[in-house]
Amino acid sequence: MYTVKVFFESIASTLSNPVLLFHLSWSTLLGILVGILPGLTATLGVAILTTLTFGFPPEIAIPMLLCVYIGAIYGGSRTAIVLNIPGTPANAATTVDGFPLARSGMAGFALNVATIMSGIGSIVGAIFIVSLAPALGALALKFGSWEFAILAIFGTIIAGSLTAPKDPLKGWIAGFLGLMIAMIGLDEIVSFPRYTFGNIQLYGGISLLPVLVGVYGVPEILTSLKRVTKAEVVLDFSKSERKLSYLETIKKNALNLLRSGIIGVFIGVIPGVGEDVAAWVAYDAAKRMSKEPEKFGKGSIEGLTAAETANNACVGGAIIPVLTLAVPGSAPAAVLLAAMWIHGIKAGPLLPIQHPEMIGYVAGSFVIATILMVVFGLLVTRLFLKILLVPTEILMPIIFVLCVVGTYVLNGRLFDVWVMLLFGLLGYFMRINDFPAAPFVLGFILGPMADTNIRRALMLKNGDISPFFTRPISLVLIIAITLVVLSKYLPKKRGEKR
Amino acid sequence: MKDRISALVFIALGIFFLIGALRMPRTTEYGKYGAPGIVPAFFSIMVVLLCFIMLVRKQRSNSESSSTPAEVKRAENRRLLLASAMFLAYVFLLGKINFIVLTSVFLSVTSMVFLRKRFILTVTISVAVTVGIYYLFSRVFLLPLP
Repeated sequence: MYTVKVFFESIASTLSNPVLLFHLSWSTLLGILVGILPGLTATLGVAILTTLTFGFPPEIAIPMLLCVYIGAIYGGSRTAIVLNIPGTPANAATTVDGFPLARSGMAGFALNVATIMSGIGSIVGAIFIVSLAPALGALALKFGSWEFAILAIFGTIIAGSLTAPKDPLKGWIAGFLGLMIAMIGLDEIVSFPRYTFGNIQLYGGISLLPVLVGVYGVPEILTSLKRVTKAEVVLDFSKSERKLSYLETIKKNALNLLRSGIIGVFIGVIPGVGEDVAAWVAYDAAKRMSKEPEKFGKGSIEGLTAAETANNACVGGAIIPVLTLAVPGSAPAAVLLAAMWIHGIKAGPLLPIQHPEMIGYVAGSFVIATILMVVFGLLVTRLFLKILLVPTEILMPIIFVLCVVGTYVLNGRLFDVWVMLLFGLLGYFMRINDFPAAPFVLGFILGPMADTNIRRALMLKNGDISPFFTRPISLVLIIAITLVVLSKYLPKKRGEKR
Repeated sequence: MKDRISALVFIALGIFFLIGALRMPRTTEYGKYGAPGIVPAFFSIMVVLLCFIMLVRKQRSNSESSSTPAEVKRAENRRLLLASAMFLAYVFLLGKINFIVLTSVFLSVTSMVFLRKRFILTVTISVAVTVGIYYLFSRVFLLPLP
């Protein structure tokens, strides 16, 4: 009840604070711009703004980061519809029906439908933050070292399975690589320097932001610059569009909206599995449930609705485990988690006790960000789309400079820039060999949690591992890991035998 | 083939981390279960094991890479190497040359090399963007620049 009260209070206080509204407005516009530009992902946008808002108080910085996050996931739909290239990976499913709609002369309608559906998806996400986060927080208080240790491995494995559905083995390898590389630096129990080779810069471990910017930013920049062929842009809104009512579209898609919103939230809650997977799963569900499945891929409003509702609802879902378990539900949520640490807010099971207002405050900020996103989306994004006419060859080097500067300013050391570059090359190597980045990053984030809790669990019971199998939550997670692994391999083996 | 190469690279990395883990102290003031090498050893063994499975499994055919014409592939690789070299040079020179000068030159040269037209516009945009970044970070948000 307290969370609901704070939720409404934070909306009211933000609306009556012009300075905060100003910061949130430009952050939302920045987010939309980040989303529109292919190569700039939501992760990168949140990372760059984290460095810019370094000196801001958390009650301003956190809502600003939420605005960029929501704005970027939404902004990517603009590019997906007019360019057939997802502005962020979250909008890949949007291209399937968005671009055919634009080509058939309904670009304006498709853009507005995507805006409205993204807004509804975000509101579903906010509702679940208010209702689900306190319950998950209460459950998280029952977690011991055993549960946290298994949760870290569970998150990495499930992220590996869902982000590399064609070859989950590569997803798991990426995840364990992340966990392994996270071991660099002083360990948290006895402060032993691991893999530091006497280099003082490595004692503190490798910072999260250079890794995120490197793994997500550099491969995208290199891929864009090396591409010889260029994409077709449909920026012509002058064609006469068939007049369709937005309200009627919402009514017709009510069930689709609800289903996609719920799918988005629950995929968001799963550690490391982000908006891209949510959009595809919702799109697939909408296609299977549709009365007109043959229209999917040829400009289906249902398909567009499912993808755009789910990816924005997923943002809300991804924030829930950040707040209650300190486990990010997606890559941009991981930066948000890092930003909260930077601003002195320790997310996790103790958050509802130490900062009881935080869940309601975040949900309230979420609603404000959604309102701003819809308003700007309907009013100014067509103007923003002109930026797509700027050649990639000019944009990408600028984005690289922003990555370098963003990485440097966090600690003021060039070492982080080299780390970013090194992880950028690793990210590129992984990309060309079809290893997903998400489980790697999640493994990197959860590595210290896994390390400390595995050893603490072993120390508490003098090496006895039976509590991992006898404690109910831990056992459920172990069964889930086993099922995830078996489900990926058993049916295929049967098929091969046949 | 691609899978085998990446499996071998990651196996080498895994073995490197495993050797490092085995060289760490085996016991601590909290007993042998607090040893710092336990978890890194577990993770590196998992990496080696999973990569070994990838190495020995039946290789999947990669139709996507073979569909790109060799000429396009060569041009793409050339652009990739050029971009990587320019990025490395920029980061290497950071802190050694004034930020505004270095970044303006880097942006102008990179854009010109890849775009090969509109030279005056490219230089103007590069200088304007550099000054914009400089003022935004160091004057508006008071953050240190290299």
